[in-house]
Amino acid sequence: MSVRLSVSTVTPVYSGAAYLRALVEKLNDIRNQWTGLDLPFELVESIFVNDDAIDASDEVLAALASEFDWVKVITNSKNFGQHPATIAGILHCSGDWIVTLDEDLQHDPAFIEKLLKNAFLNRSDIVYARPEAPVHGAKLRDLGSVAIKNGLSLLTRNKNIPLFNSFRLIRGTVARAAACVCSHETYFDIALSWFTNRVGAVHLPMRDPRFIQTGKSGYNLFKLLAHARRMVISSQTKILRVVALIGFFVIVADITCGSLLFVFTLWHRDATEARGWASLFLATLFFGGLTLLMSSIILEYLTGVVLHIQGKPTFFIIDRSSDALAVKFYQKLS
Amino acid sequence: MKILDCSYLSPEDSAQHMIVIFGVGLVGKAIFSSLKLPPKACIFQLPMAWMDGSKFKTQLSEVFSFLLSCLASSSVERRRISVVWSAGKAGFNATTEVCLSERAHLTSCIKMMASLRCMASAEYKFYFLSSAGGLYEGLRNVSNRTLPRPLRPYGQLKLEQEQEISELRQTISINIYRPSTVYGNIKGGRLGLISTLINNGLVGRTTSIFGSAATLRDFVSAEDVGRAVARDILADTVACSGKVRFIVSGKPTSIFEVVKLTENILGKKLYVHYETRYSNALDNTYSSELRPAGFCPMSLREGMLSILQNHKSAC
Repeated sequence: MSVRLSVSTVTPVYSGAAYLRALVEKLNDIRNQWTGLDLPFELVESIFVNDDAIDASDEVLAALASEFDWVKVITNSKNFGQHPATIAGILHCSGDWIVTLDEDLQHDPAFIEKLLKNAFLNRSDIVYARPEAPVHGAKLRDLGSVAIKNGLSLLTRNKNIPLFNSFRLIRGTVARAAACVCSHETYFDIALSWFTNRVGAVHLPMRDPRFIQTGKSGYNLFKLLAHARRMVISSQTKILRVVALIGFFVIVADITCGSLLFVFTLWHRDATEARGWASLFLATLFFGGLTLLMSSIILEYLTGVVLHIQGKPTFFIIDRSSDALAVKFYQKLS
Repeated sequence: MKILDCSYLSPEDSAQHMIVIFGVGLVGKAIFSSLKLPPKACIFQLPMAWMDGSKFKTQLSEVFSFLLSCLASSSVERRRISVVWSAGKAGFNATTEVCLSERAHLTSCIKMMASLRCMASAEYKFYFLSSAGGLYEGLRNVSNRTLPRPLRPYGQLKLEQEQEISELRQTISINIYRPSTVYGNIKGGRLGLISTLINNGLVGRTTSIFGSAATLRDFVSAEDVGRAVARDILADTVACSGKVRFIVSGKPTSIFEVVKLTENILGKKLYVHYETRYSNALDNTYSSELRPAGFCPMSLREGMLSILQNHKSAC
C-alpha cells in the first residue's frame, strides 16, 4: 500500500487515570494490526487533552507519552469541559480522519475500523457510533437522553441530533473547520452539521464501565440539560417560524371575526347585552397575535446574528478525492 | 546586512563579540531586535547586492576585511565572531537559477570566513537559517525520523546549503535552524499570508490565497524565531555542534482557521479568493516533539494581535 490515509484520535481527559493505559494499549494494538493487515489507513497520532484532570491522569499521560511516540499530550489551563477539550485536541491534530473517544473505555478503539469502513462505503464525512443497547445500564437515564435528543431534533429540525455521540469519526478538514469556528457556547456536533450533511451511523456494542461499576459518570442531569441548552443556542430553532405563523393566523382570524361581528352588529344592534366584551377580546387577540409575530421576527434576526457570531459558514469547499484508494479497497472486499 | 558590536553584552569584560547578520528581512530583523542592542551597537549596515554576483563578492570581502581590522586592533584575550545567515532573495517559488546564485553567495561567505579564521584567531560561530517548509513540503506530522524531501529548487537549495555548512563543523561551530512557516511584521518584501490578510482586511481589499482552505501549516512568529536564535548567539555556553534545530509550534493550523481567526480579530468579514491555478496547497505540519526544550511560541492569536498592534501604531 503506497499512500495511506492518516487517522488521529482525540481523547479529552478529566478523571481517567485508571483507564488510560488500557486505552493506549488498545490503540497500540489496532495501530499494529492495521499496519500488519496493510489497510489503506494508519493511526498516526493519539492526542490526549488533559482538561485539568482531577486525578493522576497527568502522570499517567506523561509516562505513556514517553513510552509511545505517537501519543501526544496537550494541557488545558483550566477545566473547560468535554467539548472545548475535544475542540482543542482536534485543532492540534493533522490526520485525514479524526476519531474522538472517551477516556473510560466506553468506546472500544477496535471499532474505529468499522467507522472508517462505513465512511468510505457510504461516502460520509461524519460517522457516529450508536449504542446497540443502553450504554449506562440505567434505563431511565438512557431514555431521558434519547427523549431530549429527539425533542431537540423536532424543535430544531436537525435530523442528525439523535445520532450525536462522543464516539465519532470525522473527516479531518470538516473537524478542524468546525472546531475553529466554535465559540464557548457552540455545540460542536451542531457546528459539524454546518459543514456537511453526509452523516452516517454504525450500531456498536457500547458500555460505560465506570458508570456500571461505580455508579459514577462524568454526566449528570444538570450537565445533560446544559448540553440541551447549548444545542438549542447553536441551532436555528425553526420552531420560531411556527410561532410566527400562529401569530399571523391569530391576526387574520381576529380581523375576520371582527369584521363579521361588525356586520352582525349593524344588522342586530340590540343582540348583545354585554357590550364591550367582544371588542376587548378582539383587541387582545389582535395585539397578542401581533406580539407573537413581531417577537418571532426579532428572534429570527437574532438567531441569524448569533449564528454568524458562532461562525456558521456561507460555504465550505471539500476535497474527498483522497478517499479513492480506501473506497476501492473496501469495494473489492465487499 | 548588519555588523553589530556586542562586546559589552559579554559576561566577561575582556571579551569582544562581533555579530554579522546577512539578510535583514523578516527573520533577520527579528533576530536583530531580539539581541536588544542600543542603536549605537550597530556599527555597519550595508544593503548587499544579492542579484549581482561580482558586486556581492566585493562587498563580502569588505565586510570580512573590516572584521579582520577589528580583530587585529583588539587587545582583548577572548574574541568571538558570530555570522548569521538569514539571507536571500530566493523565495519559496524561486527558480533553479536564482537558487544557484544564492548557493554561490553562501559558498563565498563560508570561504571568506575560513580565510579570516586562518588570519585571526577567535571563536567562530555560524548560525544558518534553513527552511523546514522547503525541506518537508507536503509532509504531515514530521518527526525526528522523517527525512527531508524537497519538492522544489528552493527546498533543494536549503538542503544543499545545510550539507555544505555541516562540512565545516570540524573547524567552525555550526547551528542550523529549521523554522516552519514564519509570519510577522515587515515593511516591503514578501509579506506572507497572515500579514497580507490583516493588511487587506483592514482596508477591505480582497486577498488571493494560493491553495485551499483545508491546507495545513505550522505557523511560528518571526519574534519567536528571533528570540530563539538570539538567545543562542548571546549565550556563552551553547555548544554549537552542527546540530539541526527545528523552530516549530507543533500545532497544525488550517488556512480556514487563519482566515476565521483574522476575521475574529478584526471584527469583520474578509474578502478571500482561493487561487487554484498557482497552487501552494500541500500540507506541512510538525510533531510537537520537534519543539526545542524551553521554546514556548506565542499562539497564533497573540501573534496576529501583535501584528495588528504594530500596524496600528505605524499608521
